Amino acid sequence: MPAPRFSVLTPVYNPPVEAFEACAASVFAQTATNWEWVLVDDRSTDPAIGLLLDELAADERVRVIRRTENGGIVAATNDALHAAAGEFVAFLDHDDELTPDALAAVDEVLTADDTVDYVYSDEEKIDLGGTLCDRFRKPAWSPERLRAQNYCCHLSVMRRSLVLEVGGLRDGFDGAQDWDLTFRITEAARSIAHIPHVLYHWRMVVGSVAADIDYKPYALEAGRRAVAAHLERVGIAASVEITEFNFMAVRRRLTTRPRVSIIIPTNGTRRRVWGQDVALVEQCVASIAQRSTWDHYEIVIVHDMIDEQILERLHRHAPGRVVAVPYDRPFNFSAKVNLGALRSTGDRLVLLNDDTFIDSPDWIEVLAAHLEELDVGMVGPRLLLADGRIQSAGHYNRFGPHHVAAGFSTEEIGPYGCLTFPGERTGLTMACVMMPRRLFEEAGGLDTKLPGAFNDVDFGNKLRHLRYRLIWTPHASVYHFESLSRDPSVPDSDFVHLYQRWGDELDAPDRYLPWFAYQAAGLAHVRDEELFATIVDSKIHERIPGLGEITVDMLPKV
Amino acid sequence: MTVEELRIEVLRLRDELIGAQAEIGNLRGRLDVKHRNYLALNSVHSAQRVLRGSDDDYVRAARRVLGFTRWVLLRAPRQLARKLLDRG
Repeated sequence: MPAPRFSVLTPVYNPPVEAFEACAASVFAQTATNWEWVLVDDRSTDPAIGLLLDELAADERVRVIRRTENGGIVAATNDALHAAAGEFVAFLDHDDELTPDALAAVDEVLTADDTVDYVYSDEEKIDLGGTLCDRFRKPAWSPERLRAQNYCCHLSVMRRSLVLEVGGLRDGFDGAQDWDLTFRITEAARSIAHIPHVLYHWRMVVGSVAADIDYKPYALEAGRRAVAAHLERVGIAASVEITEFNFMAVRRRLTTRPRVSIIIPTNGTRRRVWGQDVALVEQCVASIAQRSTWDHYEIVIVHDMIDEQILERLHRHAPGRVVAVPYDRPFNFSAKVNLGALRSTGDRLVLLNDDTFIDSPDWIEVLAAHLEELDVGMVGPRLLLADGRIQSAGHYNRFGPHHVAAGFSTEEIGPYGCLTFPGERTGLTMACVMMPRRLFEEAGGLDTKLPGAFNDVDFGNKLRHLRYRLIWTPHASVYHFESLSRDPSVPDSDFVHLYQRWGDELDAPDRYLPWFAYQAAGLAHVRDEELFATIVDSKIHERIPGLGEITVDMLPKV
Repeated sequence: MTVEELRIEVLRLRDELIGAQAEIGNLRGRLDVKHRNYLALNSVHSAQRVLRGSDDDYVRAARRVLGFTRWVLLRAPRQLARKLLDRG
């Protein structure tokens, strides 16, 4: 008899009978047929569970293993793993449910790409009254986010041979054993897939993590150790703390001493900020010089022949650090940045608007530490408005690019805590970003056909096109007095140019923060994806010209 | 042309290269399956190899890409894509 495609693994210990029955019904309701179900009874004391297991064992697709002593979830799951025969193992808790199409949906992904070793899906909870709630629209594979939060969780399906190769679940991580395994699997996997549909219903019962993580404080400590062990294995120098919101804060240490070039395009604009009339670039440079703890940097000022007195004062604020680069062509922010980058000498480039003010003294160290991971292409800090609210926590896409969390209070943690920890983003606001020089050049710098707006959206897309990750972090903050120094309006031609390049990408549901697309449309709780798309589509088409199908007329005439 | 101007030109061409790849990917996704043609994308990939091979010599890279490569990169794939779209 050929091995099944899937082995569903379920350790059992005194679940509520009704919940266990629902769990079993969900397995038998699978539309896929190539599965087996391996249940390991961890010496349940409830006789009703014993009877139920006897009934289940009558089905030829079910195997029930009875442990002679209670060993806990790690031991029971490992027993199931070693008894399993399937090519892939799917983890199902004894009181949870699979959706009927769960294994079929995973099978489709695995069939389309035979290099996939790990698949995870979106999930939804079942509250104490039995109602579905709290749908978690998860990001595409996000290793940075996984270090703060076990977001993959349910449903997780892993190649069995790989799980055995990495040693299965480990003792000592009870409560976070799945997180620890996810780290070890993803470190070894050839590729990882996310299915953006709910395939798992996680039941909230009193005392479960689904209901409240505070019920299992030992799980938090186990999670902290799992993250620390992962960081050590992959060579990231960092400490890990549990945050007040029960996520993990990874504090990285910079292990190199890169020279940093801070490039600031400016025309010397004066504006009123925090009640004072200031030359924006002067305030910006002064904040860098006075507040930064990093000392290995230069400041490249690309200026449109600004007042000599301002330049003199910049030199006084940051003696020996300022390089002035005159720019005498019509306004083009992208061209100014490109020129500044070519004149700079650092191996890390910071692109900084002149209407910014440094808030976190260790901002350079925080940003630079992320770039020690070679697949990270660009990092951006939390940008704040003058009144202290969030200006941008990166970009998300859905029928165009948008700022994440614009106008949110810094007290808000965001959906699933995403504003409290670093994570992958589709784009970053270029008012302040850091990147390696080699990537700036590899990506061709900023597109000079986008002289004012969207050059950051375009550049972020280019880096992701080249397979680099973009990281946003709340561990460094910079004030951004948005568009004080120039006209914020965007010409239609910029939209058209952006859409010619990236149309499909910009319109698709955001890869990393899909929740925001729903929230922005006031439809966070809409369950019907098609209905949502129709509503948002009609709204956006009213607003943005040149959107929709690309036609021959829209192609550039070369 | 100064070395700095050449370096800026190389930046611009790299930008155009990625932009053309993205644009063709965008268009390809919208073409009917039977009309899909990977020639356009292949041209871009060939040109990309030329560019990658000359990273450390901006002048040489600029001379290479300013001629035939520019045509291959920008003009040919778009013309092809336009024809395919015209066809239906």
